[in-house]
Amino acid sequence: MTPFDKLLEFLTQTWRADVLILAKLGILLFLFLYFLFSLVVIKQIKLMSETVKGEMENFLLLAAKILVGLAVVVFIMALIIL
Amino acid sequence: MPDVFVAKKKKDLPSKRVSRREKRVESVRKRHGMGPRYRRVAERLVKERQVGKIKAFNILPGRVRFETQEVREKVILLLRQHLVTQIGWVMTAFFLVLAPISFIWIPMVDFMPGNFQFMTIVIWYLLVIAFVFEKFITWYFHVFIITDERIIDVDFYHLLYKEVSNTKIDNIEDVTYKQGGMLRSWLNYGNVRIQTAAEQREFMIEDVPRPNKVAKILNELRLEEEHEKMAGRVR
Repeated sequence: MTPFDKLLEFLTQTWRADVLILAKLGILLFLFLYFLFSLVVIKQIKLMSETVKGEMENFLLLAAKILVGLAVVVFIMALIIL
Repeated sequence: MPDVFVAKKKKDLPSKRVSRREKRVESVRKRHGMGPRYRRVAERLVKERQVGKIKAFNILPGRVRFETQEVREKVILLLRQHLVTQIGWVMTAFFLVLAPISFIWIPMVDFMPGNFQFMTIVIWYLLVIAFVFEKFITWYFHVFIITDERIIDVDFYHLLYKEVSNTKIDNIEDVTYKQGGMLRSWLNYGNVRIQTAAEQREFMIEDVPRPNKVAKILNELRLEEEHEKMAGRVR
């Protein structure tokens, strides 16, 4: 292996590492935004339940809370796995 | 000579028992200045009552309440878009759920390390859940309510935008409904357009089931309001 090949290999490895770090940061950022989105969903369901109170609002609120829980679990999982 | 026919004395006649409900209905009619044979729209619709958690056409949904509802105001109809209009996003969601299976034959994420591949699929399903949830609540809260006094249009376009407008039944000038196309005729759904004399000139109920019934009930409510006005009852 020539010194140039070694340089190329080094650069490729470094670049690969950078891409993975960037991808990890991107995924974490996305999951954080997803968590915020799920909070907005809860808020919106509460507001809409005040506007129109039907028969499924409690179920929808529960589903929205499960969504928040899911977002938190996946965020923590991403921190551990990636 | 014996009598051919002897009528029973009044006190022998069986006394007519009047239930508390009948008394209450009678008192309401008297209060509203209506005759004994007059039946209000809400009373007439009791036999046709239809309520369901995810039904698009609800008649007399007893449990439904809305923000500006008055104490004696009764919800007559709660309308949503026909379920068949939601097939588009349901099918999309179905294909999105199945899409990651195609990774077995089409190696789209193979260039990534295993943990990143796993996270990609998890994120994919999170997006599908968000898509389904957002579409469902948009449909669920996008309702049109007809009470015995008002019509209320709740437009819930997406998570961050909603619009609520209402007008009194008295303000309704014209009600027309439109059904076009094979699917709409077959499944009996269409648009109902309500022209009003209020600030918002027009209310449109889109893709609602049984538009003919909606138009009929609205006309009956208009007549009822006129009748109440003549009887001197203004709420």
